[in-house]
Amino acid sequence: MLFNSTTYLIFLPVVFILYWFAFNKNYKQQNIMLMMASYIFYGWWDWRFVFLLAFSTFLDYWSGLKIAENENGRRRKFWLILSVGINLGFLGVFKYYNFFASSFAELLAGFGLQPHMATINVILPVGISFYTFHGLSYVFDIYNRRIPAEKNIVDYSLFVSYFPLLVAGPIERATHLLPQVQRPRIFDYGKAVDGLRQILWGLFKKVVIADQCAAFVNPVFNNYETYDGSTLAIAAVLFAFQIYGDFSGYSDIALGTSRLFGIELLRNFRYPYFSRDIAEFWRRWHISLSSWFKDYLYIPLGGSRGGNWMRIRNTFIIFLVSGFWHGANWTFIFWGFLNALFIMPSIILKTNRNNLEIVAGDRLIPSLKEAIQILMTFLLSVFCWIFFRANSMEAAFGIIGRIFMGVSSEKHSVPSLVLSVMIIAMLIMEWLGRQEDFPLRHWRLLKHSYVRFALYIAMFILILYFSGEDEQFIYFQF
Amino acid sequence: MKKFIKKTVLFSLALWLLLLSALMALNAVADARFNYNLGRDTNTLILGDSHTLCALDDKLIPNAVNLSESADPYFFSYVKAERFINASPEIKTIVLGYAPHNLTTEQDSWLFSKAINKKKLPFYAFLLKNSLLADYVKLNPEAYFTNSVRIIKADLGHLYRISKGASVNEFGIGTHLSLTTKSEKEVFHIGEQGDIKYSEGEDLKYLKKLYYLCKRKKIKLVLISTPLMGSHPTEPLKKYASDNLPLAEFLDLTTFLKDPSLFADSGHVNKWGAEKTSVAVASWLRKK
Repeated sequence: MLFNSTTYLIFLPVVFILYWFAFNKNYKQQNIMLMMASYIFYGWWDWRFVFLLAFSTFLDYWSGLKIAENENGRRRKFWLILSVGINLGFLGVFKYYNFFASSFAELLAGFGLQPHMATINVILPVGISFYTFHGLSYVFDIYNRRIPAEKNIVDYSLFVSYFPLLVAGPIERATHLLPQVQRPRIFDYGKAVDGLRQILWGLFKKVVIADQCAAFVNPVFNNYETYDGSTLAIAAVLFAFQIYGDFSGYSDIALGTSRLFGIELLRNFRYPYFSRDIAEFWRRWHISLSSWFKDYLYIPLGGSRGGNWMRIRNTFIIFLVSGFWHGANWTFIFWGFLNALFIMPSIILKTNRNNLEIVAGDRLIPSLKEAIQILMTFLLSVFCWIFFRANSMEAAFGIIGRIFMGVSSEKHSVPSLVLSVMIIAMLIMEWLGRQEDFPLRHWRLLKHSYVRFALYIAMFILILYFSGEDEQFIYFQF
Repeated sequence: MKKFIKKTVLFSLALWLLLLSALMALNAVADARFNYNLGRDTNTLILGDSHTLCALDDKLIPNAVNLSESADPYFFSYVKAERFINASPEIKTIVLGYAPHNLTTEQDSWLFSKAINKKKLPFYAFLLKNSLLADYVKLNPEAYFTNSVRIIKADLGHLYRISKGASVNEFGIGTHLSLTTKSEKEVFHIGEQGDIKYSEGEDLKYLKKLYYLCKRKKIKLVLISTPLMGSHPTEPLKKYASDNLPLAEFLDLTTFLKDPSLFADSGHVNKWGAEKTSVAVASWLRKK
């Protein structure tokens, strides 16, 4: 069930009404209802996925209890390794088996051998990377004694399967979400309205920006050899907006939806394209994943302790793993590598903690220096996105070659004026609202409610105009 | 909570009321101002999907207007037939595309496809009046509402075209399309009847409705299978027509063209193929 589908438009109000009216006697009833709704939501994709989700949930729940009840270090480690091993095992089989099999076969073929590697024909369960990491963060936190084990299976199941974040994050932490699940929620009018505004903004980014960019980007990237360099450059830039609109749009809908139930989720994006350097970009893009890797990989590897070489090594490791997390293709790994390379200067020079404040503060216009920094950072990210989007390494280098060599061809394409205007409008709204969680929150300051309503209707009409084919969210494939 | 629900419901109602009012009003105006009369000279109406769209050049078939459109399910052919026949009493013949794929579930996939409805419905919406609108909304309630803004935009475009005196082929509801590519070789072949899975879905009901409309109005219905590359089983077409549409005439031109260079692809003739096909159809109609 996609967030931008009619089915969800019916599902959400039904769950909302049940949550606040039928199951409002106590929060435990609400938790049961939300958990069931979440499983229905997930099963809507494919009912078979539900068993995997249930198994993963129960595995981590049980491992968590076992880790917590054991004081013996070796036993605790055993249950941790069991949970991590099985979770990553499932992830490895569903997501990476074919990649390793075919890469290994290619490697052997390079030595003149022709192995017959069996590949498996299996559907990648939607959201598996997200809820696997969700569950892993829980067992790690128990092992590190940050949180006690959750004894209530319903509460824990809800933490893992909570439908707004189930298929594409944000990757929540038990320390943040579980306490909210374990206490009564009180309906807050302001938060609920904020939730609706955030959903509207998320839909705008997904339907108006991301899906329309996709219509331009997909044929160009899939047939790059036939397009000229300028079209490929435009497509690369549009992909940057496509993936941002798609993923941050999804996150906004998830956060907005959750606000309707009185639950706050972790913010996942903080206007990353206004970043002044790559380090700042990675503090603002897919925050829940970056912080997951920082807490559960970078720091256990030694983090920033042990000098520059340790920092460089650990930074490369987390970016490569992050690339690998995104998908079973060398392009994702290389994308991670490139990002690590681009962030290296700031790591070595220890300038990666600059630019912590909001760019341009309260000023309407950034300074020239800030504008140049923003543009350069954006262009670096666009360069990396080429690898992220390309179908293969060969295609990625082919695209870059055609862009930088200025290859001309019969096929030249430009985006529509409407799309260009919409992207500029989005950037302006985000710039003006960059102090807020999401730009539309700014609109609550508009004096007259009819002006706000008119703006909401205008946005809704735009969303309706551009909708129609329920394009899948990019991050569902991860 | 009450305030939240009240405001949300009021907002939703206001929004949908605004959209539906604009939609209905513009549809009504476009429908009222559109000239459904194809003229005294027009006695043949050509309908169907991309096969008739490409194969039948109405400039080469005397007194004919081609309102075929790519991926048109029979529902829309029926809508066009009903709206134009009622205003054009001179129409004595309807030539309707009738190919092997038209008896398969592909027809229903066109009728219910989100992508196809997103493209077509905005242009066709003003044609949907009364029972036709009720039928469509029953079949595709979601499509009608999710395309409401696009319908409004298309209606404004129609009104503009009406004000400029545009011909019926300029409204996005049908025309003849001249393809200029040439296929080098035979690329498509159905040898066995089992290759096509025939079924009778929702859309074929509208083929029958069209048949009965023609019968009521004493209009000759000609079911035409336009030229295809390779060999295709036409027995199921003949059988279906004789069982369900006995008064309709079946004009089988599937093997009329042999030269691959007269085709743009396996199912669509190019402009040179259309020339030959159209002349043949004109000649056939003259004899009748």
